[in-house]
Amino acid sequence: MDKISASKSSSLNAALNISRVSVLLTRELLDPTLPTAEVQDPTTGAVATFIGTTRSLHEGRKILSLEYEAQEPMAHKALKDICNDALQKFSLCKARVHHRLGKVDVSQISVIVAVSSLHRAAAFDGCRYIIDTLKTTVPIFKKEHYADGSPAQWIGPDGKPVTL
Amino acid sequence: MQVIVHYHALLREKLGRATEAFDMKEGSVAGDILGEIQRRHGALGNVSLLQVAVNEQIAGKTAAVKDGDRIDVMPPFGGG
Repeated sequence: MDKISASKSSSLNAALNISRVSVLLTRELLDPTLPTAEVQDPTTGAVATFIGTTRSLHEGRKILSLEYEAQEPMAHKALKDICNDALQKFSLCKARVHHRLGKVDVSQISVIVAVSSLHRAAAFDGCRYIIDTLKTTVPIFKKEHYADGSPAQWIGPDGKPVTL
Repeated sequence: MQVIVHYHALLREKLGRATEAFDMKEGSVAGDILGEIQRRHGALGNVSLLQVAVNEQIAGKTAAVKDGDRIDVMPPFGGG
């Protein structure tokens, strides 16, 4: 976004009292239409939304569900910091991250990242930056529960079981 | 001085508790607390994988701790 457009966008947001960054950690089902609508802005021409869902197989094992927990105050702050970082790095207009906690069944949405920008390249890049950074720097923890009844395992950012 | 340590996820399950108080010497740093956890519980394995936060700020192992601090000890993250 050029400086004049960014300034106009920022003024409009301030006038409308719309937050440029918002983060949600919730045990309720996620709805991608909400963050996607929230980032839309008359000054922007692109919205990118990433939706992460729980897949039925991981490393050849059938998944029953995932379970997420977080150090919630830290996770909330870290997500806001990543979004604000992305706003600067990619000249985004707005960013939203919604992340599930608790049990998430197969096919349910575990995370949504939505961003808006002047053009599509920044939206794609900014959206990817947020989800990639989230995985390694936000204190959210993931446990896989398996359909065959074998013991559940905590999974790290590399997708491998965590062993201590 | 005393600090309260909060364990998360796999670490909480492995140690069988969510919080624990530690009496530490004045001048202790975050890494000393990991050492105390090892001494008290043993079998922690790869301590280098753990992240420590002091008063909810990610801290290096040399970060100073003081009486009453909240310490979070966290295994590798897995969000998304």
